[in-house]
Amino acid sequence: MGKTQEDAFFAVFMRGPRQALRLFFKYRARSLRADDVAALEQERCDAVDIQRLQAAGFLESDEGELCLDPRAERFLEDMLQAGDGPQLGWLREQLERLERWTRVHQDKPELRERAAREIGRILRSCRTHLRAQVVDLQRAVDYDFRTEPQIEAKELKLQWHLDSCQALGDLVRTLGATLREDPFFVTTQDREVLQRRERLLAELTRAHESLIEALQRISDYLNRVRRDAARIRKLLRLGDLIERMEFTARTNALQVADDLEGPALRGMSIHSVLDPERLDEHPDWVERVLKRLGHRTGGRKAERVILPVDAEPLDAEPIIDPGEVLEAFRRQDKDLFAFLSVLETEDGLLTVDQVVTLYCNLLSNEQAGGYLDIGPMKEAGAWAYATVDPHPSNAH
Amino acid sequence: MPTELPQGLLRELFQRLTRGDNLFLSSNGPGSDAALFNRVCAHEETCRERLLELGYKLVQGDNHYCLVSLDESPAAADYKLERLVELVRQVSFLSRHIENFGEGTFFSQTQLAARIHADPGAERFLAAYKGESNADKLDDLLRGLERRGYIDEADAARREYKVLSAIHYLMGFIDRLQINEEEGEGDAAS
Repeated sequence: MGKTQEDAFFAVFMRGPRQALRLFFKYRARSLRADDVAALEQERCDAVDIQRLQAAGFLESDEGELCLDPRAERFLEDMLQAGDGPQLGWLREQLERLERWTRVHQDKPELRERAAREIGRILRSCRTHLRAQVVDLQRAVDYDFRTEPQIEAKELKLQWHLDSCQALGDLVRTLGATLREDPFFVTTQDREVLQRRERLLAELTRAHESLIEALQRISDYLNRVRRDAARIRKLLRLGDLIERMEFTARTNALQVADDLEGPALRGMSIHSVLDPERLDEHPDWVERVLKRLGHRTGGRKAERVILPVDAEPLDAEPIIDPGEVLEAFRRQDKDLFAFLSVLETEDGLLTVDQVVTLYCNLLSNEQAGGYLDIGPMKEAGAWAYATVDPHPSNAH
Repeated sequence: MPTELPQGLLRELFQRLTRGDNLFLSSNGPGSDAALFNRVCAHEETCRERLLELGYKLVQGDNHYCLVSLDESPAAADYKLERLVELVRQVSFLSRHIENFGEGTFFSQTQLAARIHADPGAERFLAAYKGESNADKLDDLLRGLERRGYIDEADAARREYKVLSAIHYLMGFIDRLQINEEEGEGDAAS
């Protein structure tokens, strides 16, 4: 976020506390006294403004030293995008501060109290931030995997996340070792420090487990991305071989084709209003229709499925090609129902029921439906039907 | 040991995988497919045993199921090869022109048509499909893939499609194909 955008964000706060808040955010890695703030920026922060921030929960105080409340700090980082991704640098810095203050505690008796407070503050801050960092990492991994459109960029991002995850894991282990083995933590009797140490150790254990899961997930994603990228390169290559008529010569296509079974071999299914026994007597009718539609049986006997009367209709091509029927319909003058009643098919004239079925199929055919003009109702025996003019005045 | 199946599950599964042109049950399928997929997953072994008794093999792939008839009559070798070539060409075309083509990918027919515009390779590929223009032929290709259950029309108004898990069925054949690269050529993609 640029400087002006940061200004715009902090402008939402009242003028008085605004300056103090910005300064505490800027120096959030450490705790400050009011005179520290003034010295750093050569501006005096009004004590009243600082108290306002404390009262609002933005600042917390410990023996006159102030720092941002961890939740407020987290909120500001999110808003200002200052917390993108796992803040390895931040955690590393906290680890270094911890090591410094434990040395101070050991070497400078006069600063032991302050050292203990700083250590306690660092422990609490680490605990608050660590969980959020791990969650951020997991979300960033899933987000990049799902949304990055370029495979090469996706692979790079995932690799970066993998490296970050491993680095974060190393820091977690180092911090855990420090908490368990550093002489300060081994000897201290400070109850609050010990309590915070235990809580942070528990959080480190959870973070460690979450990072292992994240590592596994990133590895899985990376394997999938690399497999997909290799597959795409292979597909492009196979397409080229097919174009150059080298597909069978340069691949094991014959062997793979031999193993084809199931849906791959089923080009399409058809249904017919004709009696199935008539179709059995005339297998050439099926072949003729398939040829018209650009398919063939592939030397296999077609499977026949006889549906019960109340079965739901299949989504399949009718054996009577609607395109051909409609073309013939438009070349003459009868309305659709009358035309179908005298339509000559392979099996002769259609029965009334077959006419009605075909009539309904044509009207519901999504490609033909837009070209048919529905007119007034008419009666034919027991049936009432909408007339369909072969030559509508507003033809599409 | 086979366990009892929930009422109607086997019938629903059998009807779903044997009727019509869409012979796949995808985990990310439309309508009730996803729910049926999960139910079958929970009782997969029992479903497999019961379907075997009926003469069908339940094939489980990456997030999808399909059936193979044990009585399926063998197809001619040249027909099988022809089908394989067609499948490879379709997947190659789609992978070339759709970013991250694979399970769950969304793509726009309009954008795809724009991408292939004036692409001679795409025109050659689409020549086999019905339609007067490349856009019509592309529509024919996509409708055919939708009918067969590899993609689903996610948004008719925006002409957007979603790639279903059944695409792994085709990818499986692609993965098994090995290219014998000659010396001096690019990556050995095996």
